[in-house]
Amino acid sequence: MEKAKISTSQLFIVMILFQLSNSLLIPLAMRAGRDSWLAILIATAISIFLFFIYRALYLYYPSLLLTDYTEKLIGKVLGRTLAFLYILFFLYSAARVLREFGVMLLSFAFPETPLFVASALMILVVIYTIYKGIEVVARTGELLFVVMLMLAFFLFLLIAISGLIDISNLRPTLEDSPKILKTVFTETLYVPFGEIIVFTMIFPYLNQAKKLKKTAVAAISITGVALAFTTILNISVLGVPLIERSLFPLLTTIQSIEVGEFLERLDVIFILALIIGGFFKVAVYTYCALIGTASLFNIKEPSKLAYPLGITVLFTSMVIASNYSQHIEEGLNAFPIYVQLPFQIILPVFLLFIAFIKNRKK
Amino acid sequence: MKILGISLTMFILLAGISFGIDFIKGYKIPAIKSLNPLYVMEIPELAIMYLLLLFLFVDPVLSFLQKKRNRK
Amino acid sequence: MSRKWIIPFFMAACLPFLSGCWSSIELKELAIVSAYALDKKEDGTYVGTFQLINPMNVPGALQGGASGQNPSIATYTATGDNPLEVADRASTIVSRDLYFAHTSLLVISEELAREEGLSSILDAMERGIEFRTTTKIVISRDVKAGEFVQVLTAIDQVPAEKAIKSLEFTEELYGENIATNLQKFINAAVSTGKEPLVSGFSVEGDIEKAKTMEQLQSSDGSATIKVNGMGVFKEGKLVNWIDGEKSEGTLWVLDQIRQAPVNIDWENHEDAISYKVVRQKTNVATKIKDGKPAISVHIRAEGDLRVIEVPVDITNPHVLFRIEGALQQKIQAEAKAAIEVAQKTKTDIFGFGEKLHHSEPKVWQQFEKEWQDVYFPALDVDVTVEAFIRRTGMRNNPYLFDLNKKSE
Repeated sequence: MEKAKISTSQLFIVMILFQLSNSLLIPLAMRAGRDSWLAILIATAISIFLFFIYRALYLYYPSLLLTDYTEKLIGKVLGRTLAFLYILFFLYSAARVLREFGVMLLSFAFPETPLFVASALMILVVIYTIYKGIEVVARTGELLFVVMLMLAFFLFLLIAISGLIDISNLRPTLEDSPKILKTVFTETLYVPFGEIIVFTMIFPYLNQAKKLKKTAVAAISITGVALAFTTILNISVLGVPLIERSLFPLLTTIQSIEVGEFLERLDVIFILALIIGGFFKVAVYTYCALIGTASLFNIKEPSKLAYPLGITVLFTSMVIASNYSQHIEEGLNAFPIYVQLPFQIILPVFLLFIAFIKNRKK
Repeated sequence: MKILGISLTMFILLAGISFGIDFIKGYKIPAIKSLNPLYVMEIPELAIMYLLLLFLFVDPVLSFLQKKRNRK
Repeated sequence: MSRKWIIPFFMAACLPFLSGCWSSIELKELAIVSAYALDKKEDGTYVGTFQLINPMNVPGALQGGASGQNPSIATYTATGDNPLEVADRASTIVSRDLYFAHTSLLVISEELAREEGLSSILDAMERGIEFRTTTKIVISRDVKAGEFVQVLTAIDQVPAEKAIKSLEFTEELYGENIATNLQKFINAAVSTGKEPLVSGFSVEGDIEKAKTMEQLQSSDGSATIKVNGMGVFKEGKLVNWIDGEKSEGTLWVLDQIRQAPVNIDWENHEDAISYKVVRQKTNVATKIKDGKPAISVHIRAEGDLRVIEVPVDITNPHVLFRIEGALQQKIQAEAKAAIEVAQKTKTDIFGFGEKLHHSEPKVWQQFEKEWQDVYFPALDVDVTVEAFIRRTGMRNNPYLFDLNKKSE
């Protein structure tokens, strides 16, 4: 663990940017159809509960990373293996986000640029940032957050003015409520909300531990509301069938903006959101993998890990899938259940249970 | 060197995970073929790739030289 | 001499050199040739047509005034016994020195290419100091080369530029043509293990009208210049034309495809799915099997799906892999067909011989003399293809898929 501190406001911003990132751009909870925004809100509520599990773990070991206290909880061999698996999980998630970022960028902006080059440029920026440490990541976040806020405001204003919103697209609500719950538990809970598991690696850097609860709950709720709002916007502008066919609904929404014959084709807003979001998520994931590896393998200079781990993420992002459909399909049907469910929910609950027993004895 | 070893192990394991997911989903792609996004590359792309890989060795080599100098 | 005079002295000494070179020619005495067309008369003399740029009428970036009144080119015709003599004669008619350094297009008529071949012509071009070896060669198909260069074109004011651009675009976007320049042509013609390919051009419409300003005054023009097939050369002479899908197959094997559409049939619908190649790589490997050469061609392509006219569920990767399989078969069939045609005409346009020469220099010597006529046609060529679909554009499933779901 490096010697650094971040403030509560920085944590707040990092959490929001991290969660919005790619989930703002891809179709979220689309299996719930028209009610996907409800699914998102339900998932938000559950994820606050999840956050309390992570927080409880953190409170037992306020100065340690997730990958450190596993060793204290379940023994040296098992604990270290688990920590290593968590690091792999972070890297794999980073690679998935990087791949998504690359494909999105190429799909609509640079069709002939090789995926490898686009991803490589992105990862080089990420490498530089995480080489500088968590404080730089957090400060970058502060800067980018302002840009994101302005973009969001501008975008909403334009959509509202252009009269694209058709609320009737949202009706009827609650057509199939079991489906909503199914979507929540198979998909939405894990992406993006369950992903806050990475913050168990960042909480120890917080300078005011007392304010953690307030900050994180606020960040999660705001993200949830923002995502639900975006989904409502998308559905009311495009309608469900078009979103189901879209790879990037927000882009399709942006493309339908026409204001005063000159504010058209505002795709650049999407590109900015994409680059900021993609950068941030990859950076946070890779950074958490980096400090985890450094403490697990006792590496004195963690920043030396930045480049090799970045390249690992880059190559993993290339071999993850043969095509984008496969990537999405795995991201919807395999990755959440086989990987994210155990790492984000089952294992933390299990760890908390053990921590509870161990500390009661004392 | 330790760092490179860790990274390589991680890459192999990560590729293993991705292959494992392919396997669970029942895509009949042989393990080596799941590397296929790296197959079709143009020369500039290849150059960038090899350059990135080459940079991996800059730091270990430099620290190795430093050690040698210190010993003297 | 005092020191302060040294600098002025050298400055003065430079003055005589500043007046120009030994054989200086003023700009107003030059006529810039943009294209050179060669035909052959019945009596065996060459007829050369020169497309000269008329600078007064080519609109610049700022002054567009003069255009639209007069054609931006002028053509002159002369005859002679060899290409250089033709050029010299032409100078006397034009009243200016013909300047070839900007000649970007050399047009040879099909007749001349078939009967006499290019060997005797190209020496003059290669030897001349002004002519560049990067000049593109094309063959005028079914039309006299001289008439071809007289056709006016609307958007690109200089017809030679227009011809080269359309050549490059078809090469890049359709993969049905190849831009061959002098150097490439000569290299291939000299090599025993490779034969050159040259793109053909034809003119569609009323040529007589297309020579006048009438051509530019209507929106569609009276005639258009079009890229049309690739000519196969053997021993410097045109022997065959390759058109359409076969030319695409040829370029696949040649590793020259940059972007090309590939259409496949899907469930009884013809050309239902269109795939656009973005990158490709072809490896040609040679080996000796039982004393006979064998070639294996391995093509790898990646690209996106562009058009889907049938309801297929492309969010399902299994379906995508099946489409990839169909694409591979299609590309393989195209490449094989192209190789068969080349083997029938006994012309090794793919440079397989050259590859063999590079990898097995000793064995090559025994094949070299009869490569084109005996060994190449009997060559055992194995084509394998791997095609990858990377992306599916901005949508996943086609809306036809939704329509079908409803009707079910």
